Amino acid sequence: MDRRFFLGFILLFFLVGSGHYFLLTQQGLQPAALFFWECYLGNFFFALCLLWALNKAFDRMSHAIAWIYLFASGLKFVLFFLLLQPLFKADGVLSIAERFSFFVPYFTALILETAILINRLNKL
Amino acid sequence: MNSNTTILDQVKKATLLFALLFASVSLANTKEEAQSGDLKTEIKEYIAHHLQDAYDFSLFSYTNEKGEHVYIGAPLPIILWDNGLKVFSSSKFHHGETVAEVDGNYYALYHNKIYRTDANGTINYDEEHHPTNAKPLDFSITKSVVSMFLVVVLMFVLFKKQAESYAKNGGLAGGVGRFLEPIVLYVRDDIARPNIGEKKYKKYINFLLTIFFFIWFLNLLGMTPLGVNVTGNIAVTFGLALLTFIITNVTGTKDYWLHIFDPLGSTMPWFAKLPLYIILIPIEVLGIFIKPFSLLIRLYANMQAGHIVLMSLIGLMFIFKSWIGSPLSFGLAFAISLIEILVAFLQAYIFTMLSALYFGFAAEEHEHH
Repeated sequence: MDRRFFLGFILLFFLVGSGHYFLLTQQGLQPAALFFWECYLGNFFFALCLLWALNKAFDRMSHAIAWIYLFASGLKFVLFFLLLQPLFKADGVLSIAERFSFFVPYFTALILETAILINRLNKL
Repeated sequence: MNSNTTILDQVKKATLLFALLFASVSLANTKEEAQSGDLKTEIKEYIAHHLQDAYDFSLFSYTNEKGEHVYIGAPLPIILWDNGLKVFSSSKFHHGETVAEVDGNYYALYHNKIYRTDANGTINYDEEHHPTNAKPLDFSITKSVVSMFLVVVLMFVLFKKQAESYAKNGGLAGGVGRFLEPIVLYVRDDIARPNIGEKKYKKYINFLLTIFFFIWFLNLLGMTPLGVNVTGNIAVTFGLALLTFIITNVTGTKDYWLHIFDPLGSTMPWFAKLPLYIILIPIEVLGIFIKPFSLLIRLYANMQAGHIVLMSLIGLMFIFKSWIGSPLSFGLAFAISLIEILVAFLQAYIFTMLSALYFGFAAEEHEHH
């Protein structure tokens, strides 16, 4: 992975996360109670795994990188659904703030992954 | 004056004839109204039965002098996985009238599906009247499967003969090859080449020819009195569309994927593309799945609808039972049959044409990326 992309990836995640954290505290909500850290760290970790896989595929099986991206993005979504939804639903309510706790880092990671995929495809 | 009288007479006669025809149909309908209620239900059931797959290859049935229902046809093998492999003949079901006992387990047919039951064949239902009995994994050789085997053998024999005829006649097609050659050339020159391109069409032509003749022959087989409806079976069209989906995406070039993930290319800076891509990329990704989905639905719905219309028109003959109604239904059924022969070809053509188009997208190579 290019260092530029990796740094951009960390920076964007940090900026989005900070903004999100700030907004939640401004609203008087407890980020920890909304599984904020679990969502951001989990998404960050899975996005890193996907980027590593894309990087490996670029060298060895370049024809399949789009498939790896599609499969991994889908798997990431399913995994989070299986792991986080029970936590969110433990109190019987799935609030909008809880939904945003998951979807904001998910889409941030997705946009970055897509940008890296496009970059890789253009270099093939 | 004379000519005016003649025209008036003719109009009067025509009106009288029309009134008689209308009355005959109406009277026939009134007389038979009570009976036709049952008849309509019977026809509906018959059409529904015809559209479904079957566990035996029944050609026709009749009621003999003793009042017994006699089926003419052949039983087919039932292959189930239910705590182990169970193989038995469909004759054990006696066309759904009895329970089949295999290795101490009991199976019954309900709405043309096999369920595990008790010795009496009891089917239990949930609140929505869906059976709750266990459904074993079914790998049976059904009527549709037999029909597909038949078409595979037919295609193998026909094309083998065609290939041999070239060797025999010094590079010229002979026999059935003379009929098939123009169609093969049509698929190659008017479907594969223009859509995929001169450079890459050879990679896909085998699949395109196979899928074209397979669908066409199956559609035509559905027009025979054998009563098969293979391409009107969504599982079959799903399988065919899945092949197109796999080939399209597995052979997709980097330009194909770039068209999905970077459709605007280098025409604008990334910050301008970002808001557009939030909408565009999900649409393009959905398109990967929607294209083969439309293929499977189009073929399934067209063939299914054709069979329903045709069978309904034939069924009308038994409802009208009048000297005008029945011939009219027959005439309509005959006309629709002719159209259906065209549809059989048209649907095979459309499936092949669209598959070629998708392969063309997958094989595209641009300079601008």
